[in-house]
Amino acid sequence: MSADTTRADLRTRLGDVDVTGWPARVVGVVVFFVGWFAVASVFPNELMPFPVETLEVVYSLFQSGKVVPQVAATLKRIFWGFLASMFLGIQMGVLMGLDQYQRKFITPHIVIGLSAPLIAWSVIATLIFGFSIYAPILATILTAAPFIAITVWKGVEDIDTDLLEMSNSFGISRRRTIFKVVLPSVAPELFTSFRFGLSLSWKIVTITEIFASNSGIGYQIIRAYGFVRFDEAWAWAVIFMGIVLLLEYGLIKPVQWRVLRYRPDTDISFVGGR
Amino acid sequence: MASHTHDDGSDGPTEAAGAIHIEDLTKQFDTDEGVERVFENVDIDIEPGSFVTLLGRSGSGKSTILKLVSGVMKPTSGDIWFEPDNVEIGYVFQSPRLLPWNTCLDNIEFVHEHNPGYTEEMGKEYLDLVGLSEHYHKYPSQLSGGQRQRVGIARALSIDPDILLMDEPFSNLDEITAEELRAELLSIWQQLNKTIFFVTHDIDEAIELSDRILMLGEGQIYADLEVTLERPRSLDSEEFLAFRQRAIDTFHDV
Amino acid sequence: MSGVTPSPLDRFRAAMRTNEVLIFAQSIATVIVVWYLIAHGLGLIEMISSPELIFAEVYELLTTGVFFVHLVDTMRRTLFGFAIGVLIATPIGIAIGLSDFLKTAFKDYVTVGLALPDLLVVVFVAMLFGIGDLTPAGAAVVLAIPYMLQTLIEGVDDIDANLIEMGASFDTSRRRQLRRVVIPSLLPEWFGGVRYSLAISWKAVTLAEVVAAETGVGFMIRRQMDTLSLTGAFAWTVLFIVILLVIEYGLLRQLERMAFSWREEVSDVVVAP
Repeated sequence: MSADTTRADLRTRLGDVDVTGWPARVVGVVVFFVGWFAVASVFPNELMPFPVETLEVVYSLFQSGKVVPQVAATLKRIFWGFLASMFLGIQMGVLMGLDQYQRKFITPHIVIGLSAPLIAWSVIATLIFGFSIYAPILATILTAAPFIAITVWKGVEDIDTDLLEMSNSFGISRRRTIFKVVLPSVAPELFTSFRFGLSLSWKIVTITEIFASNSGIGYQIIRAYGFVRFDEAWAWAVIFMGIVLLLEYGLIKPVQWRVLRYRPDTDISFVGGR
Repeated sequence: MASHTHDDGSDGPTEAAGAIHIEDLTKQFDTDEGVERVFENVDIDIEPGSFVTLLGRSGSGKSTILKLVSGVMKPTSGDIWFEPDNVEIGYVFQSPRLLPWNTCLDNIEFVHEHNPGYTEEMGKEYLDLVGLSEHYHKYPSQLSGGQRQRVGIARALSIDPDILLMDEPFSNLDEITAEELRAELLSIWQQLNKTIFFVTHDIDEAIELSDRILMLGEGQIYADLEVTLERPRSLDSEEFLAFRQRAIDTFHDV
Repeated sequence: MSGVTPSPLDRFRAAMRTNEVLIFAQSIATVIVVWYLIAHGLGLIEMISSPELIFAEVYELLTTGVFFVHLVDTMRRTLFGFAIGVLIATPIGIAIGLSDFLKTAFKDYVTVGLALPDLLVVVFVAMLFGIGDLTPAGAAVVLAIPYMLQTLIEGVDDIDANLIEMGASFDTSRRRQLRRVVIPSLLPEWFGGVRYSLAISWKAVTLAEVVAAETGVGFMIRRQMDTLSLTGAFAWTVLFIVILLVIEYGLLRQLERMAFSWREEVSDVVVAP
């Protein structure tokens, strides 16, 4: 087998992990650490600890057993908020795609949802539900559902009616048509809405934790900032980013590759966030 | 060849072909400007195993007739029936209409919902039949236009239809590919002896392929020509050109 | 359709079902009415406030000028931060887009940058710059840059290779190619990225104002939280949204339309976060 075929093979099997470009990526990573080091040398230590010091704090946080319950608290809120948002968002999106009147009726609400500052929804949700899990859930719905709706709507609109007609002409049952024609057709948009709904959920839940709880990652970061314990804030930030990146590279990218695999021209290793 | 198990327990693709009977068919659409009558009181009888072409300009309603025969659309009035009653109908579209997220094989598998006897081997055999043995697991985006259309044909054939409906299947292809596919279609037809009801606006294509040409225009069938030339037919032979002239004259008569 | 001429009543009914403006009005009216009924009917004014209270508050904020005082501060920080972000990101984004090496080296940066939670960025900029204008503006810069970068990198990818080839076949100089092909090709996408970055910047600034400012819309919304005023929170939110939409649809869309009249496609319906 020629070198080209082997490389192409590898790329296919490993998904989007592009092994052929690794020197460049190593350069990127190295630049990051060098940059951190350089900035840390310039700024006072309390403001900007060195990488190693931060990792030490992270380690001690884990040791004291504080990390898991806080992360769990945040994750729980995200889970329910995100689920509710997907549920509502997909329904709205489908309605919008199928019926003109619904689309025109729902659109103003989408626009409002998307234009409001995140903290507005956080504050409103907290003032309505107080110190409970319903506050972040409502805030998430208000933030994420509009975006999910608009993405799903696009997907539903784009369904190729020619394919539906083809399926009909072969006498294919409604059920099979939905599962094998409609769903694969909207899969990319469903995936995008999943991806961004999740990322929005992260953001809004941590923000709401400032107001509506005494646990969670967002709460810990704000608290550390308030007590001017910046090294702790950095440590929590690292933990947070660690989880986010784990999700991003461990879950989102592989699924994304799978869903978009059949497209000829998508640069799937770099479909960023919009 | 592929294995279909039939009601009487026998194997193999049937050499049976269906007959199509259309009586007094009328179709009209409601548009913004009022009612548009595409055609009315159309009668067509197609014998089993024959290759009949419906020839007409764009917009003459020929694709509509095909859709009515396939059941995708309902007539305004009139009757369509088949012999035998429970015919299998295969449909080949002008654009291949393949599911872009499935491989060629999976695209064929898709239409075998009601066929428990379908196997992957069967799908492969039909892809072999249309010359796509190297492409079982390719996605439509990786194929050329002609190759995609071949998959569409394989798909329609794979359900072992008694009747094959073809709606301008080669119009979107370049002439060389179209010529290839026409020759292949004829050879497949002569092998399997299905009834083919073919629609086109191309007079040469109609003459090259069919036993009979029905000319559709002004809302009715105004000519029914039998093509008695012997196959294979070459487009520059004397008989062909003579017949062609006759056909064109008839065409312009309306 | 039958040959009967539709009566004015029929026409109105049809319009109610199809006319965008009317449906928009129906949509908003429904919310207001239902809200009012639930608030007063079920005695939930404390919990969910009520339209007429919100209108009253909005009126007061407008007439006393309080809204505008804080709006100006927020807008100032937003424009400042967003402008710097665009200025930094544009050349870098184009450079990365044009170089395969840079693209591979830094695409993870963009991925991470896009995934950065707003709160993290705000807290860290706050740690660096403290209370005042710099934190909100700085947060806007940090959060807007990844989006701008990505837009440009994808935009460079989208440049029609055929046009570049055509230019090369006529021996066009690199400079002319840049000016007449690359940049006009990129402009619409760049503009889209700019609109997007502006939207991001608003959100970054208002969030930062919660944590590290003493004026501004974000700060005032925080005040509503501290004084437990749901009505106030709604009022400020409504006003802010209206301003945002006026700018987005009134100003930016018009600019875009004028500048890019040669484009056939219409841009997206809404700018998402």
